[in-house]
Amino acid sequence: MKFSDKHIIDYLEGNLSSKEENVIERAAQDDLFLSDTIEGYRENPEGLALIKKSIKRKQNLLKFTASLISIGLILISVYYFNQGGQDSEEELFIDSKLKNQTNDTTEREKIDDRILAFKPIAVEEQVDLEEVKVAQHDLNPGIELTKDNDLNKDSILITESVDHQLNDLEIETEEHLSAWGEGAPYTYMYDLFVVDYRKIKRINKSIYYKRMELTGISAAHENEDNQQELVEVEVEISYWEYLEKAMEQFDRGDFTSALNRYEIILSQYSEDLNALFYGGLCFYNFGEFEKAKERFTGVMEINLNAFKEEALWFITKCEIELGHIENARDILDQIIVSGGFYSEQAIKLKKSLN
Amino acid sequence: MLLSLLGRQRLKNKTDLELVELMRNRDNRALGELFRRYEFKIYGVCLKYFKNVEQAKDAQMNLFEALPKKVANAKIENFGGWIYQVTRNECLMVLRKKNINKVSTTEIQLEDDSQESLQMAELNEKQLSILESSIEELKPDQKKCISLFYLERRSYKEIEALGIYTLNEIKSHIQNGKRKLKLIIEQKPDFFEV
Repeated sequence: MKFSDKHIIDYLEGNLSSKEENVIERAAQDDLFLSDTIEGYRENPEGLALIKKSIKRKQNLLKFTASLISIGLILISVYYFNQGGQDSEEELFIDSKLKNQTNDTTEREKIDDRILAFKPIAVEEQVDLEEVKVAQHDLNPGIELTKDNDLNKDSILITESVDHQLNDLEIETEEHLSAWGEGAPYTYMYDLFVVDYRKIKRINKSIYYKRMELTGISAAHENEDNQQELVEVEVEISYWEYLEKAMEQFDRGDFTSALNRYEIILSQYSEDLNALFYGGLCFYNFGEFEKAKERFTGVMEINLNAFKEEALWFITKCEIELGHIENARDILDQIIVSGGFYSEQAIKLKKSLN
Repeated sequence: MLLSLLGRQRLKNKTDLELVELMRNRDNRALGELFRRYEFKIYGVCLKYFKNVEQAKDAQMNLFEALPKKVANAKIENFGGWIYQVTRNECLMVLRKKNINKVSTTEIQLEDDSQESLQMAELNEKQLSILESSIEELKPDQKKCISLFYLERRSYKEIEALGIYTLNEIKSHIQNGKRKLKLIIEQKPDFFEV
């Protein structure tokens, strides 16, 4: 049996019950590493005081770092909106055609006030992006991890009449069926799984969104006096390019900008799996668990196999955050029985709920 | 900073042996994660041998500095058992050099003997009955301490509170009793029949 450092410290400081003490003492009888550790600290209490201090210092440092990151993210967001994107034209502006046409124009995307008001939860409580990436590569093998997105040049504008019903989509790639429905064609952007809507005969053509433009003067010569020249402009851009920027924002932790984009996508493609899933993760990171659950449930309701295992896992986590423990237990049972990627974690999580 | 936090989160989910493999590929963050997992126990073992917080800290740090090299040349199946043996040997070597205690090299063990024990939890009914009769054959003090500790699941403190033995005597009776019990049981072939 393995005991945590904290449990051993509790034992040494007499904070355990007699039964718990006996458990650790019996284990120490069979484990010389444990018995020597206990003996070492018991005979040298000043050593225990020192290491406790050292552990505490490291934990505080970690918390401090996490708060710094949260503050940093907020400051960066505030900076972008206050500065009007003067120094970040390249980063915010990805539509190269438009860039060529309006060389003297600086712009920033208009962000919904409701989204701007969201504050991220503590970093350690947020979704572990690395874990999501590992899960996605495990669940959807065949494409190697890429460091940079190399897909934005392949964007395709599809020009047909509007139809939001993904259930009626024709899929050009090899079709395969699973318990979750038809497998969706996919690729990766910034190592994150995305449904490749370029390979689906999707009906609509582009995304329309609003951005603020500052016209007439080069960005390099902007100053506060020019703020009144900001004008709201509706822009058309290909879905793929718009999504690519959202994924880049999401990957670097700018959940405000990313969520704004996912919401814009959903307002025009109500069953877009990429926007539903990653939008859900953004809501989760903002502590908006009801909204997050709604998005993940949306993923589950679409008869196209993408993000299903992940969505179910995150619905469980939302249920726990919302205090719906019984619901969480039921879903965890489903995950465990499915024997999928999250089943092992589900077993652990279920045990922790008991 | 964010990347480093995310990287750490990724390493947290890895097993010891996966981290060892990463270390062999010169991943220093894997060494850091292993250090985080074992620093408490390693420092405790160093304290046991040096009985001095500074010397124990030095030994702990020296050990971690030398770890990549040691890992590269070792066949490791259980990192916990292996790092314990390495720590113990390092402490004894330093003590021998300093001649603080007259430590014999015979004390330096290369085999992991930490698992050598009677796993009472895995015994069936017949084995338990043989075990009980074997306990009767122990010296009275050993019998008393083994029964209280293993059968009645009393903690050291509780046994000490009975006022019969000191803590060291309890530990000694349990250790010697276990060793003796093993010898007695080895003479009883019925115990090993499935």
